[in-house]
Amino acid sequence: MRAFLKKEWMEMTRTGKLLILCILFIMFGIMNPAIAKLTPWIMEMMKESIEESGFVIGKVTVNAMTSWTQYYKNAFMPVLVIVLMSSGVLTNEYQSGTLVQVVTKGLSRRKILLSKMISVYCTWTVLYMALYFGVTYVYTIYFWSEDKVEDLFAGIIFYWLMGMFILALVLLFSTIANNGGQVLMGTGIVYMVLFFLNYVPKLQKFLPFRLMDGLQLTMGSLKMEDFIPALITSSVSIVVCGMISIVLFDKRRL
Amino acid sequence: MPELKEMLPFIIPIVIAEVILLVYTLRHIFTHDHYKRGSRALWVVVTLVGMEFIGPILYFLLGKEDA
Repeated sequence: MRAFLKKEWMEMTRTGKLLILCILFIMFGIMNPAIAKLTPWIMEMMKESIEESGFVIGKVTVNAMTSWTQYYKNAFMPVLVIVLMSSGVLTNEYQSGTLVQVVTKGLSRRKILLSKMISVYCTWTVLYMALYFGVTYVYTIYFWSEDKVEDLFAGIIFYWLMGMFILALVLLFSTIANNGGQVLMGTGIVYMVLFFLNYVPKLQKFLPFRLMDGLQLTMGSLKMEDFIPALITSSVSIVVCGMISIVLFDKRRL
Repeated sequence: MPELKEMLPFIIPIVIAEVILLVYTLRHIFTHDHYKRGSRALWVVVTLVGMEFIGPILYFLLGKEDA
């Protein structure tokens, strides 16, 4: 299994995937404080057209919150990138038939799936925490060190869990689908279903989408308790998805 | 436009990232003889013209041969 993990690592570095992911995540991280810093200038540019429609712009103040608002607004992009990158993690191997040899040589299917899971989850965790969050955090501290932001880390971790949930879906569909497109489609359909369910007020509390509202936690309009049901459902679904994937992968034709 | 000096903390890392990606891409192009599409000359031009991320990304998406 360690050998297989090593192979995953080699694949990531040799194909340049890791480099591109790193650069993309750093760019996403830089973007948030940069947009915040540019906001007064953008407002200045658009001043006339806004004033024509009757709004008056006062002095625009930018602070750490502006940067974190951008952070949550843009956080779907890292998720999207990692989902696109991971959609082929198993399906590419089915198509090239490389898993057949490994299995006939005696590596158990569970170990293969487990290493794939570890590598996908670790990539997401490290890239999101160290690069996307880390870069935004460092810049925000640098520019607006005097601003106090409350409950920041909790919201960040919630969003990370949301990403983990989506990746669990991607891995689950990877055990069923035959190519990357089908994986994306399956994940997309589940996402859409959850999206519509989110309109039912009673369910909102329980759906993983709640985890994306970390900003409201920071701003104080939501409390920590409001997140607990969503935290539980998401963690449970991640584990359940994992178990279903193991069962399905055991049976699947490679 | 805000003072250039104020924006430097953003610009410098972006430039560094661009250069790393550029060097990596060019190295990849010159160490490989076959591409999915196009020729070496084409990809070198594309990479250099679209130096700001877009060229290298295009190469890795469309030009790089599958291992």
